[in-house]
Amino acid sequence: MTGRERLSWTTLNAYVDGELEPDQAARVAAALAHDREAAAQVATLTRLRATVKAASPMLAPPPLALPRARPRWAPWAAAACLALLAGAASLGIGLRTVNDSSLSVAIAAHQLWLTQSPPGTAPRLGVELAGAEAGALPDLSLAALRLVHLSLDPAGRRGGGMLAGYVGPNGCRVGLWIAPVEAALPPQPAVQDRDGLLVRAWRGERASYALLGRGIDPARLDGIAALVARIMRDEPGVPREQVAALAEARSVGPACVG
Amino acid sequence: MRIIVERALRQNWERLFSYALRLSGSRDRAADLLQSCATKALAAAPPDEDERVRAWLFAILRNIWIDEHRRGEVSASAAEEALEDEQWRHDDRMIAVITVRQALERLEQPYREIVELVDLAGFRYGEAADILGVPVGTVMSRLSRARLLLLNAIEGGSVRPFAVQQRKRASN
Repeated sequence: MTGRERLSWTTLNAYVDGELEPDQAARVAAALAHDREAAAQVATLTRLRATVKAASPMLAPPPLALPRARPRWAPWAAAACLALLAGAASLGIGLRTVNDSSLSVAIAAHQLWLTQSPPGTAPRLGVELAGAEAGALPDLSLAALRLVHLSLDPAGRRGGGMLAGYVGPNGCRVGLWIAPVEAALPPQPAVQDRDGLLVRAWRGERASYALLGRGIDPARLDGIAALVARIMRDEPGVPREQVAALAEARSVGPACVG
Repeated sequence: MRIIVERALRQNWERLFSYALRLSGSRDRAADLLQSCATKALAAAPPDEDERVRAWLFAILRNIWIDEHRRGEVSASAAEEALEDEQWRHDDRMIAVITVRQALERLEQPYREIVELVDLAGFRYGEAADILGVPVGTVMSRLSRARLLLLNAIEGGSVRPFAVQQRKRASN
């Protein structure tokens, strides 16, 4: 290799990076013995490469927090859900009926769940709210909550909706009520505390939501409601600040007794 | 499938963050990018070949960044200008961690990105080409130009290694 063209800057870069074919690398190595400028360039490149590796950003990455797997439909859960929906329809419970009693129905559903077996004894469910076309129920593992309960308008009143029950690591129960869109509700989670329950309610594009808890720290409920609202809006990712706020509310706030 | 992706995310978490930081220039945005990347990767099917999973993760992160932050600017790639046949005049003594770090920050994003992928993340040219969606030849020319610009920035930078400053003062 005697041609200056073969020892171009690009070729020397590829040589230093070990990207040349063995025979081509051998020819460059032989040429370097006679080309002092090219040899100097290789020395500079080698030093630059090593120094760049040492100049990696000093900022530490955020803690590794992998989202948990979104609950999938189990065949039996799908069948049970469809049966519930069919039963509700036969009883004249219209899923598209919206009226002012929606929150009352949500509260009744949550209170009924609170009277049932303690969290942890119920089997974990994987369900999807097909009737309301609201997509999969939200994965709230970022708020340390797991889905354990599902009931469809158990009070048997009008309003139509579904209560998804989540439980925290210490048994705290949080209910997520999902019902057809109710225009009277605000677009962002708002305080609607009633009947001894803390309630945050809002409307989305495809459904209305109410998050309910008893004895839970209001700040934590606010954080969970913000998380649910974000998930239901299909916004990608969760801001670091929101994750940190959820963790702080969990660790700093008073223990949930619900 | 999820196990494979989770393992790759754990193994490359810091490197992915560094890449996100290099793309976005902001720690908060980089953290958001990283989280979005993890969410999207875990919901997708990884490549069949294990050795391609790492580059696949970087490509996901890059695509999210383009979608979220550079929509409309995607075509603003580096101009692959011909390298000038200038006389070699670089002083190796100027190459130090502090000067390189500052020079990297002054590089245009496409050049910072290729340096990040090849020199820091350790990707082969072919892998970097897959991530960037460009031919290998483009990777070669962009990288060699990035290094030349880096050297020029180091030479022209205001921060110089202490030993060089002393030598320059002594010679004045």
